[in-house]
Amino acid sequence: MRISDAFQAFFRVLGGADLVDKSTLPPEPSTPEPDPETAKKLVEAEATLAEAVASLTAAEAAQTEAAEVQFRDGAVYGLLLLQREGRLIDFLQENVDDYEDEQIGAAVRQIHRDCGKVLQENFAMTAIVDESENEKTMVAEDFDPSAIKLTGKVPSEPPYKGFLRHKGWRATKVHFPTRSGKIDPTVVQAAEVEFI
Amino acid sequence: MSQYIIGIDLGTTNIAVSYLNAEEAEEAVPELFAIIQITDQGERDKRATLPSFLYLPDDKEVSKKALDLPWAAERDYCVGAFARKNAQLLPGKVISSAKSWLCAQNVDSDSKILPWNHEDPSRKISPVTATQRFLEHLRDAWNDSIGADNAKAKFQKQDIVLTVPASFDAVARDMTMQAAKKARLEVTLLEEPQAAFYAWLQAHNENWRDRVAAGELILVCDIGGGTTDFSLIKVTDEGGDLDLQRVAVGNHILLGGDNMDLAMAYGVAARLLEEKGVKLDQYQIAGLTHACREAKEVLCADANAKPQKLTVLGRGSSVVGGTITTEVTIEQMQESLVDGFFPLCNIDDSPQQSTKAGLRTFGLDYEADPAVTKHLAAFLSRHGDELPGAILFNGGVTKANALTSRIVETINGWRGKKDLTVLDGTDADLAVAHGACWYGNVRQGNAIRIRAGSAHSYYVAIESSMPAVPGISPPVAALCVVQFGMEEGTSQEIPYSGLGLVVGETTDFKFFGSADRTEDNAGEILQDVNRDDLHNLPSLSAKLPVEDKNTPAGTLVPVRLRAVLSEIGTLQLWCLEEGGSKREWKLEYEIRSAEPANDEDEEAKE
Repeated sequence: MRISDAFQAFFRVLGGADLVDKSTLPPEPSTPEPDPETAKKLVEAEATLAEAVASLTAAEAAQTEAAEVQFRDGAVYGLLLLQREGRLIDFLQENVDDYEDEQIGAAVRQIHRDCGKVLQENFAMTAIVDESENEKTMVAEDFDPSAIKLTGKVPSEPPYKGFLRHKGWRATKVHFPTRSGKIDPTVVQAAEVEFI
Repeated sequence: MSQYIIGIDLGTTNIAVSYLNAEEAEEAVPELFAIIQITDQGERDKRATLPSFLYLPDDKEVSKKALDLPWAAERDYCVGAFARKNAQLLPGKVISSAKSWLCAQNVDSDSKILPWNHEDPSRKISPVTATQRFLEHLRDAWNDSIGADNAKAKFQKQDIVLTVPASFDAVARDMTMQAAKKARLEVTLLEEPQAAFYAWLQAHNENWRDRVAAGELILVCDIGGGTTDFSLIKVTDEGGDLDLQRVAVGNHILLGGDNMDLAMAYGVAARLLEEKGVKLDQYQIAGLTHACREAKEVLCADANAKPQKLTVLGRGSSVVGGTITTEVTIEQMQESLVDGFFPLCNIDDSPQQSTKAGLRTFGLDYEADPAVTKHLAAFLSRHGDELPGAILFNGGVTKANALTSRIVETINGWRGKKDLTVLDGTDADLAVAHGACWYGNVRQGNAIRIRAGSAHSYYVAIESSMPAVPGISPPVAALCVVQFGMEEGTSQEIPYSGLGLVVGETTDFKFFGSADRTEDNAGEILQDVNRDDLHNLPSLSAKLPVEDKNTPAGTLVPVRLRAVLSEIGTLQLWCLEEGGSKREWKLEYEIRSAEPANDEDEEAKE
């Protein structure tokens, strides 16, 4: 049953619920007993209601699950891009304790450059407050606390004048290529086997 | 009128498409069409250009449906970014430089030969089919976005200008047209250096006349990823107004930016082996080539640039541990690129011809001498004593200051004065596509047109009659049927009589072409056909029909010749019977083994 069908059934039953309420009242003298036909309808309506509620719940659950899967796959895909273009996962997974700083530095320079490109192309990373850090700044009265965090002796009333300690980062877009075909979404880097 | 004018730069390594709204063509600036393509297994995205690579995987190499596009289910090949990515990892499965194969002298471009090293012959396709696939991809990508709006916006309904190297002869042009036809497109061909010059004209639409003088010779120097192409354009004075005429084109030189990146990479790899004992594998060389390209751009742009770090990350998951690092200085770049590819030389220098080994593998005829300046000297020397007074650079390589200034320095040396004008204001990567687009506008009569004419002269072989001598075949001479500069879209009778045509039995017709013999007139005879400035075109085997029963097979019919040069530079030769019944026979290049048309596209069937 599609969701629209479920809704239709639900409203049809709501209309029918009116009948249910009336039927619980003592019968008025002028009102005759519900005939067998109406009684049958009532039973049917109740069954449809139960079915509709069940299918709505199932649809909602499926939707939530699909959203979760999409969210999870998207997050892994972000990692994939950073690995494929910039080798970030290799770098983070590697034990670098035994390497000289010079060796690490050489690799990092390249990884830094390549991952930077991914951040720009796929996320358009920009500063939330594009001003110099450790300089005075003014926070708007209607600021968004999820984008700007006030610390220290925060005044109870505006104006909010303070020092910019971190300019913040915002992904101003999320552009992912389109994926298709039978692709395992948990793969961040395929294993490679060469034949010689 | 079509809704859009579309310019396609069908490059050896990269394809770019730009377009104009036809109604606003006079004022509008061409826009780049971002091309959706497979960027990795099961992944597609839009990119500014489409790399000219075609990947033909085996069943097991990629996941099911991983090469599908919105318009193509169950695709078993792909073109573009993912194909290029695989070019070095799976060299036998990827077609590259299909365009250079279209004009290769020693192979039939219509036979299934690519990828050259593919182990399964049934998967191989012809250079013509590869070109067709690229064009189909552009068509379908367009029809999936801009063309989806309405029926009039469909790709195949637009005015399309497709660029080809100026060095493409009638056969290579015909191959390109056949590929377009198989992709169900009607296109107009335009020479790439001309397209680059049109982009310059468009950029200076208002005042280009102030920037060049009558009588001046302009060199268009187009150095792309895989090929180098030269053309000369003459500014003439036509009754007080300036006019432009393309007066010479160069040969197909298989030398470009990719050679330069490789030269740097192999130089660095050799140094690593010598100094650190590190031997790089194919994968690392690919990484190093990429790093060299980036370093080249920095080192060529700034004469005071610091040494550039070159890093090749480890291939396995141990990215830090496997990292190899070195650096390249501006002096090293100077030595390997500037002096290696652009050595100062004299105008009478010519590129070295290598002595070819008696037996060698077939393949593209890569240049033996990497010196671009020597190829340029040879080109200019072949086309008279006059040296260019202005230069227009095009192609990715010419973004590098160090390289272009060396070319300018060389030409100034030849001129004996430092006054070569550099024409600027175009985008070295996109000028050809933009210029092709602008040419669509020019064709509608809205802007100045470069007068061009045939870039080659063409000859047909004539066997002379002589008494039979065992072991000696009769001498063959070449009769010029199309002179250099013959106007396209015209026909002419060849002033040469006494020719006999064999009809009714299968005979061979041999043709020759030349980009260098600009002085021959139609009707002139060249006695010696084994000469450097004449190249063989594929010969044509034909049985010319005779209908009346009075003419037995093998009859020699006296004929005159008429040459027809089409609008797009392909050639037809007509044999007209002298006297008698005035019969006519046509000789024309046609692709022999036409492959079955691709029927998966519904829309193209309309």
